[in-house]
Amino acid sequence: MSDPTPTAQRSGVSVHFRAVTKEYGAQRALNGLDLEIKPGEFVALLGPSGCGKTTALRSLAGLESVTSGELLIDGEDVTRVPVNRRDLGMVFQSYSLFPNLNVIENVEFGLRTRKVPAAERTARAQEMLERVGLGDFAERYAHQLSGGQQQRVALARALVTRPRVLLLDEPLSALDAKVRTQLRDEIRRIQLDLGITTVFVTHDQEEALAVADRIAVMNAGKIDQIGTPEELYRRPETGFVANFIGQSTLLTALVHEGRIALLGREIDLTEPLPEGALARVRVRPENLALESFEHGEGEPGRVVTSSFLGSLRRTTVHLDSGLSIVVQHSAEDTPEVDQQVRVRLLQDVVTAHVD
Amino acid sequence: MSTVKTLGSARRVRASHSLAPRRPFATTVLVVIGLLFALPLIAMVEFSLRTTTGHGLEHWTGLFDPANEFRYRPLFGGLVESLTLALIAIAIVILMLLPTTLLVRLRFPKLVRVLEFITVIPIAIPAIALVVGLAPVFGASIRIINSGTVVLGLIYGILVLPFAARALDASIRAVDVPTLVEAARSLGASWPRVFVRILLPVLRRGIVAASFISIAVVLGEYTIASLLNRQNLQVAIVSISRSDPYVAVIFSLLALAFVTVLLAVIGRIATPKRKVFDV
Repeated sequence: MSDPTPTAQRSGVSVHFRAVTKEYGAQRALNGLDLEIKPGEFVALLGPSGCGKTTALRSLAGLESVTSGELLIDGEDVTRVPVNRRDLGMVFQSYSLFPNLNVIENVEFGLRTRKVPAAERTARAQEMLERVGLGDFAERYAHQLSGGQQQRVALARALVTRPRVLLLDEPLSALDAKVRTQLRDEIRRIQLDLGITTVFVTHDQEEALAVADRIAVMNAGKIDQIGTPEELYRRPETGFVANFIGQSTLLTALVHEGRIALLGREIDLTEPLPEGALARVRVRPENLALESFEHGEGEPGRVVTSSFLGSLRRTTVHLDSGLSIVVQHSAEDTPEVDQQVRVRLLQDVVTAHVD
Repeated sequence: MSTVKTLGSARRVRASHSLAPRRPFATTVLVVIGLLFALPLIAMVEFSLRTTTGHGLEHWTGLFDPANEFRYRPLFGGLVESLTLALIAIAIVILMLLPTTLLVRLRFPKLVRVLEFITVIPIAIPAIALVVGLAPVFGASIRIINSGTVVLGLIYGILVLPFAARALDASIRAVDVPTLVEAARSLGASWPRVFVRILLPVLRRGIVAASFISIAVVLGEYTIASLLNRQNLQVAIVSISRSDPYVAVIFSLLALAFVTVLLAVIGRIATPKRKVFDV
């Protein structure tokens, strides 16, 4: 089998998943997945374990064969193309550096398979190492690097071949919180610099919200909703998405004359619902205020727990109506457990739906 | 000082409640077992040094005396035969067992238990039963291949499976082979390149260990070769012991020393020399 030919530096290409299905025996990991990624776009596949996001990425990489459907890269059908001929760069969750090769040899590996001349190979590998901030680590081996450094080398190795698409399979999961944030931002910076189409698999909504142009929230082998981080956060279209993205409390209220009564207030609906229907509304902690029991407004309740999160605080209140609700407020306010308080809705308009 | 005393007594209290055996008992066990192993060896060395007038190196130096060449020729022939058999067994391990183990690990992980079971069969079947089953195959194979050494080598390839398979499996388990293969493939490498550039170097320790264990097993094998009328090292040693027991003991000691050195080398290779920089 011959190795792929060298590819020129280019900006991103489009990626299409067309009705892709993947079955493992009786189990269906991908259920007619449709997804269109624009050239140069950074798309995150987000979802809980077992939703099919990694299977989707591995199918695109060619590491899994699909049961039916088509995979197109830059308009070319790659569904049956073997992994080593798809011209993609991939970073894995486990660092996956070749332990028998040092850093520069690892980065040069993909260039060797493409038969790039030695001088150009070394120059490109060194340049990519500089780009990820590891120019001085060329002679080290994987076991001499920290987890974050190993993942940077893996990123350089994936990018040095100038692949058509960059695939990131939970590359930050094994790192500690601080390094994760640093590397996350670095990945985004490099992606923007190179303009490479990127598919990023993660189960961490914060990661996805922070770096992606668009997020595809996956559930049971297909996409529940795809949109910008703001769209998904502010206007979730399904209960699953609303529940998965950010924290929220589900409230119910009767629709009366196009409005609903919520936490002691009359609230308008963004879209009309049938008169007398039982509307379901998801309220985020930042859309609520904690007020004094004696002088404040809103529904009364008692504090159950209160967590300090640095610049702010999240307090769970058990309302007198029997519901528990999470309120986000300033860290200056320090409610005590069992203290009587009131919870007020800050919004005048909410998005509700009827099941 | 009182603090030191307190810590010391605390340590003693912990030691007394520990599940580990007490030091004198552990030492006694070690000494007894050590003697059990050492006494026959010491006796062999002493026996090999016996001369008509006392003790000396007469029998050891006699090995290199050209006058004894004809007498000892079967021994050296047996040694060459055993080393050839070991090479054939190693070839089977590297060319058949290694690819099979990798294939099962990478493509058919559900068959891991089946492979483990198959590789352990040779150790579960007594040598005599193995020979009874293999004798007709051996006879028929010699007519086809026309080399008793090659056919016995193939049998030894089966015999070393339990040991070699475990050495290979341990090295495959020690690294994330599936991800390394996927990483190499995603970087454009063909399967032969993945095997030569990544798998062989990464699994080097396991391959070397499996090879050395194969040599050790083959050098010590007597039953099958004897029952199939082949003259390997052990058969030659037993044969010559009837006429010259001193040389038989010397060769046994040398074979034992060789295997001990091999195992020590495996130990060194298997111990990772990792210097971790936490940067």
